[in-house]
Amino acid sequence: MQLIKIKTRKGQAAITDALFFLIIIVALSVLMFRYSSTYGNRIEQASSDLYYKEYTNSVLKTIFYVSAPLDFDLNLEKTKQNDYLMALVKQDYYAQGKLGFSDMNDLKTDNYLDIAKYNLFHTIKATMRPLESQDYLFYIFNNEDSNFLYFTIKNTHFEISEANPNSGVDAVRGVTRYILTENPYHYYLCDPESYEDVRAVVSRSPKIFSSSIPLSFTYNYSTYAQLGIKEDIVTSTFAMWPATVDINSDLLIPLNCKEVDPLSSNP
Amino acid sequence: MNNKKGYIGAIGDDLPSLIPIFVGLTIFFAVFLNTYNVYRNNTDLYSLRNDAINISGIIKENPIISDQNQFIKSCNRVKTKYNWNAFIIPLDLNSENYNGLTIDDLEVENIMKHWAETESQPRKLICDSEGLGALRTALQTKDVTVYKYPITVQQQFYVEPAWIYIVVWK
Repeated sequence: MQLIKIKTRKGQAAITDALFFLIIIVALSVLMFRYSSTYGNRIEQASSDLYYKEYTNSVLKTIFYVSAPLDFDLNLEKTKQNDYLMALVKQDYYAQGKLGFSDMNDLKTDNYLDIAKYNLFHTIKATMRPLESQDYLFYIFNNEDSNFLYFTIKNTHFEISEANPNSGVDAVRGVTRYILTENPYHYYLCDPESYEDVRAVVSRSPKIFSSSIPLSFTYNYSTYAQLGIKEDIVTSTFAMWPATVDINSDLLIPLNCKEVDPLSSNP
Repeated sequence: MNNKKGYIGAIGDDLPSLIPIFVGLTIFFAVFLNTYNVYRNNTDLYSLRNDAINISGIIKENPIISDQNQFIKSCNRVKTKYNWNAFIIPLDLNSENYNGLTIDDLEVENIMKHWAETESQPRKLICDSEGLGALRTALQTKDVTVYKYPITVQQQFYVEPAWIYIVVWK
């Protein structure tokens, strides 16, 4: 009788051990499965981050080394005169202490004094053309006087459509849908008051890739009565981020932006 | 007889406890193999893309591509276990004229055309001009990583903006 009891209990202990083993295995398998299902996304993210970082460096290098036509045709082959884009920018600053003839957030295509500004705007726009899903900004900031000399930003506009309560999963989950508007890509020239205003905008993006270069600009403020040369250290920064609904045109109001008319700005 | 009640043999007696063990082992090895495959494939992909970034870093080391020799020298410095090619095409400053590149455009003459027309000496800004056929085939049949960056190319009287394409595949 005693022997039968022991035998029965041995059997129960064995199956309990096996069930514990199964529970541990299932828990381990779930952990492994979760790791493997997110691993691909993390790798994808890491490699695209590397690419975008490298791209920002390339854009900045291109701006600094490229030539620009001395007209509004955006065609280096057919232009009669050209110069390095950054040399044009520096010449503008040397003569006027600012870029171009028009206001900082304005672009005139009928005034040759705006050629540097015009070509700078279009060079950045052209180099960023393949990455439509990214928004960007480029600015030149005078560190001595704490003011901006040039500021351009691209902003993608989204249309917010509320979930339809009568259809689909989105309605059940209460998801709001964001779709691109008909002409989603908008380009602005801005005149921000302070660096904090800019930071308030870009900090809304969860991810940002940026590249900066310090430069030396010279301003000749000589008058008939007095000779005056001022050397300024400026920082030029290019940054891009995945277009997001969190950065919308309302948020750009403190930056004093004016949209560059796509029709009038193109040759 | 009482001692042997329910006894069906050494294995048979343990059968109920063996079933969860075998099920557990099957689940574990299935998930483990799946995880291993995902890890291996993604690590390969990451390594390939990382190499594409490294190749672009080597070729773009000089901010201006001054001539064909300098470009080919940069190409020759690339060391990778993957198949790859790189070439340069012009960048139109008017972004309204932007067109992506199609497989049909991948002809030596097409890529050379611009650089040949604007220079007295025609230039081939292609790392492996013989390998364009293999590149076209790879684009149609394999997973290919294509990275594109803006760079600058020295022309006779100006520095022209251009696109460099880095194409890497296994």
